[in-house]
Amino acid sequence: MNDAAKVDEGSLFTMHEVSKTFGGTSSLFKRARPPVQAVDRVLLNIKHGETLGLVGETGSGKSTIGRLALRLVDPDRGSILLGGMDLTRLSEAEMRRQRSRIQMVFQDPFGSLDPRMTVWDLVREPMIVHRAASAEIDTRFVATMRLVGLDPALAGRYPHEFSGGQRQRIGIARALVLIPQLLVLDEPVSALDVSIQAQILNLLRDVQRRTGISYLFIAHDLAVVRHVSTRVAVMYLGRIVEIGPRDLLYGAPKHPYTVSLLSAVPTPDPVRERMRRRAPLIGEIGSASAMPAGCNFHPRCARARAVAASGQAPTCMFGSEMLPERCVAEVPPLAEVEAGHFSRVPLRYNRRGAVGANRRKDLMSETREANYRGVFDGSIGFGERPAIIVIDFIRAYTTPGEAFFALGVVNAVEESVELLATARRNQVPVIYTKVLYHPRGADGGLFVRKVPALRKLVAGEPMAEIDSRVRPAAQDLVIAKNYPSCFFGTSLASSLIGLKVDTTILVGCSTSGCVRATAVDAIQYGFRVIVPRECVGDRHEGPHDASLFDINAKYGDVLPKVDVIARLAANA
Amino acid sequence: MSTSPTTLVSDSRPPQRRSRPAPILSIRKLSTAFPGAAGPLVLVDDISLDVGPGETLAVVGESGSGKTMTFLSAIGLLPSYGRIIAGQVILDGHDLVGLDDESIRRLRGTTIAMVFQDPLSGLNPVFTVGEQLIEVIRAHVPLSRREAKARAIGLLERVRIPDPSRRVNDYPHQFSGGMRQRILIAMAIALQPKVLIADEPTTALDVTVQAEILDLLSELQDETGMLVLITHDLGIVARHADHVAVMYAGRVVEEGAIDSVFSTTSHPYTVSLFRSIPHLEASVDAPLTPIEGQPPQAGSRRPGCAFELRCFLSAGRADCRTVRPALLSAFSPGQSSACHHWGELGAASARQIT
Repeated sequence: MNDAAKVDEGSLFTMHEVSKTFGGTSSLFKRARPPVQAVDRVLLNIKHGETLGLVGETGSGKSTIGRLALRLVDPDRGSILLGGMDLTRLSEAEMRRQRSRIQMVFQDPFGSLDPRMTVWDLVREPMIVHRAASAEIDTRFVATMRLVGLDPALAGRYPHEFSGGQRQRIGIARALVLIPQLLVLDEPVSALDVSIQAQILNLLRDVQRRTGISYLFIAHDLAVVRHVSTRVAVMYLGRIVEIGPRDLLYGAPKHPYTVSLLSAVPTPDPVRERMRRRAPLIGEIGSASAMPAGCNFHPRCARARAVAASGQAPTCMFGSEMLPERCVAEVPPLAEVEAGHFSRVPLRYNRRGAVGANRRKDLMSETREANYRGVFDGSIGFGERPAIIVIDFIRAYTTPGEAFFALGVVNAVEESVELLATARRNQVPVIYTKVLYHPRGADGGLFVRKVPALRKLVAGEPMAEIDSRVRPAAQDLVIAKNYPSCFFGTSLASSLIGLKVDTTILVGCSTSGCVRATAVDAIQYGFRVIVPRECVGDRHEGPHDASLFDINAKYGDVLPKVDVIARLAANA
Repeated sequence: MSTSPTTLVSDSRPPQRRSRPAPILSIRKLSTAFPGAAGPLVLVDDISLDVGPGETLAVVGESGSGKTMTFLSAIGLLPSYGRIIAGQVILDGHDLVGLDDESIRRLRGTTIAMVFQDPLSGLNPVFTVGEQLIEVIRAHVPLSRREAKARAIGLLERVRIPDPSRRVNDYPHQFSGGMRQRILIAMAIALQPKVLIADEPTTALDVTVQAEILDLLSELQDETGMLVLITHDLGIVARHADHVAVMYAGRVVEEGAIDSVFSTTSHPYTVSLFRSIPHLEASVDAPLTPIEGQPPQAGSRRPGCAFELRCFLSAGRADCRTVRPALLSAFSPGQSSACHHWGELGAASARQIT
């Protein structure tokens, strides 16, 4: 079995190492233009009944991929397989026959329909070209019109009598009438009004459920692509930089370009939008006729510059800039980062490296008190406005029936109370999130009474005193209970940006999914995340659990790691 | 280390904006008509909008809703066959309606300027961008070519075009789409207008470029005055606007401070818009809720509410079909809705985001 066949296994459609360069040749009448490397060794596959979304900026080569899929342009290199058959080896005549199996829907519902043809002629035309039996033509016309939500009685009308949305339905009917296995949709809704877009997107979803057809959905709107796709591929200057299942790619993008793209999309929520910070992106998309060396994203990559500045990788002068050697010398390979999720793995960036190993060793041997003092007086060396964020720890510990939590409970609560006390002494504002302090509770929100481990911790102390130890003070910020869930990813870190807080200390049981999601989020936004050693579980068995160590294992090569500060001696 | 008390926030929403300052641009009961086969088509129908100093007003609507025509009317750039049939446009104390072409031309640029959607058609391909900027500057300010060129370079720098003293001699085709839009913005702000109107300034651009252009516009707004942002993208509105007016079929159907319109939406059309647009944090399993039917033909007038046929709230009620709803105050102070039954929209039903 050769390479291409291996990729193709179980797929309907595969592009294997496909490249296409335009221009570069000169003739008697035409000056040679610099060749444009539109598509560079692209590898993608589409399974039966799934939608592959293809996103990228103008000039990234995504439309060329669509045209290559139908062989409207021929690739220079590579193979394009449909149901195991290599389309690039077919003759023109054979290809024409095969084209009924791949059809295309175009962006412009106005320009792509002949204004002098009726719907009857427009929808039947492909069948006549492909010499379908005449009895079948009429039944299929009616069936296809119904499939796309058009009344077959409109057959005698001309395109100008229809609205944009209905015209796009006619375009889709023309493509579907040949019963193709793959539909290439090139920006099918971007010319439509917002209220009409949803109709077409729902139609496409409905058609797929009913017929099992596969889609290659090319668009620049990331929200639309997310809505329709099973898997998503991100293109940059002719190369696929990341491809994977939708939720993995949108939830935890690995490539810095994907991170920047996603962070540029505004969300219709004024509160969150105003506080959100975008991942930095330098300049504009480069030119495919002057392809940057090495990783072609390096001219715009903020992470490459951060790595170079931190001295964690060998650097070189490139133009007027200091960049990591590898970024300008090697094309990063598309590697599998988790099941089915491939990314061109960028350089590892570990902010901890900048602190220095000796320093860390010192920290490990210091006492809890000293550690915290270091955090507060800034001597640990990060941030000018530290703040403590206590999230969600009580919730994690009150989960009933999980004995495993018990040790963590005592330690983390103890940690938190201690941390709060230190913060008070140092006049550092504390940020409270939803659970610790419950503003409605008559006891000031102390869940303490209900939790045996907590009762033990505070045994013998009057409730009022405990209350005073954990109650928010005047300089604190309370983000109340209806604060958006940390699982939404951008919430906590983005509000920290709004508050100009530099340091994040997460205290909480590391097995809390909320803590973990917030930690990943905070790192992505460029915060340093530190966690007391005791709060990092080394077992993970809970409902949606994975320890903070897992974050390091999972994201450590692309993101700064979570710092775990010294093991505390108290629980010996 | 900061020891000053941090504001205690007890709700997830920031405090209500203070009441709106006195407007600099005030559009009052403006109506604009175009000739049609069966009598005049009223494309802008009794629109009133205010923009105050330091404010960003977003005007949201689909194509044909009259949002562009409103502002073309306001700055005297209507096509020759269109005419204003009623209303006033008060800019800085002067009524622009009825001014002769020459006086309004003098105001355009110096007090009010507009940036259009398509950055290529706004520039002349046979002149360098420097020449085009110099022309704009010298048409209004008595400066020598040399002085005007220095100012043009300053403007390009202002809109963050790299290497402006060299690029000032380049032709439009030598710039990318985002850069061309920056040049158009430079032209619009060349004479330091008090009001900048940006009509879909980023629709033709990629999302990353869009973000940069909008940040630039917001920054200019912070410095220079006020911005009217015409758009169909509610995400952009959420990020950049203070105040929002939603238009449908030539009328404003909902208006208010951004927080009120997004959290206690008071017109069924706005609610439907929110529900029909996919966004990155919405559930992907549920199908979108499209707005059924088609937007009405521009200028067609129905006796009742223009949205009635597509409305989930109306259900064919008699008042919706026969009585035009007026724009009256709704849920929050300063918020208004042109719907007879806005009270039936619970605040919770307005959005399905979180």
